[in-house]
Amino acid sequence: MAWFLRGGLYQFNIKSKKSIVHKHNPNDDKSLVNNAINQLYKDNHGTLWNTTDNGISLLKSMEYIKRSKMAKKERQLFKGLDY
Amino acid sequence: MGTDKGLHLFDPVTMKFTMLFTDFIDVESNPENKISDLYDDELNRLWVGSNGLHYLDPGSWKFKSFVNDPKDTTSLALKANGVIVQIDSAECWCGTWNSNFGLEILDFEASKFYRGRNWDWKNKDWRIQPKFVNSINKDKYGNLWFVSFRGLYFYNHEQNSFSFYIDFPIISLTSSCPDNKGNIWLGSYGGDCINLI
Repeated sequence: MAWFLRGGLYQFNIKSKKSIVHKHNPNDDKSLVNNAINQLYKDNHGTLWNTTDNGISLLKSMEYIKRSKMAKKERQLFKGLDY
Repeated sequence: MGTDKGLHLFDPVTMKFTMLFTDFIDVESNPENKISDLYDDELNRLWVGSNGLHYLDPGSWKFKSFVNDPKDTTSLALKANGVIVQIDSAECWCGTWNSNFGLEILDFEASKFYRGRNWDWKNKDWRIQPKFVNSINKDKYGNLWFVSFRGLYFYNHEQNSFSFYIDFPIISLTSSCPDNKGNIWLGSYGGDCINLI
């Protein structure tokens, strides 16, 4: 199976075969900070960390609760761990 | 947090970074100290994937490194960089980008690396495996999910075998993240992120 995707965050349900699309919105500070994702990490609190080419987005309970834009030299984030 | 310019400690309250020392990395082959993956195991060892495999011993706060030794065929494969880490019981699974093998397994007890179908490591079925690995994650059932630029691979722990799960011929998958609800989150550098439920 292949999907031809055009950007954003896709939530695909295998059983129902339905998907929900989330995209970066430059006019919405609560949207995904950037669509080019380097790494994903889920911490012990159930928050999904998206490290992107333009900083970090934190997704919790299907809402982006925080995001941090970064200097250009620090954009290539790969993975974080929490203790 | 691992970045393409070293290892950083991130404070989620202040949202600021502090750069940590990475003198265990060979600066000749990796001058910018690029970190490809991090993993903390049950023994509180922080594993660092870079141009080689390293871990921080929590007792001594010193790093131990596994790098290629041309004279030792059981060392990490030649030219292996961008090492991706996943710990599974007494094994450390390493995904690589350009080692010609894709996957290697470090046997903790023997401190040796095993790779490829010819190794028959604990009778694992190597017939299908990714050549380039961008991430490895374990789900709640103990199964392993491998992301390559081509698509998503699955290692069935019970059947001890690999399978090619989903083909993504256009976008470049960079990451995956299972959660406790049976989801697999997939990140793409092509501008997409997909959640499989």
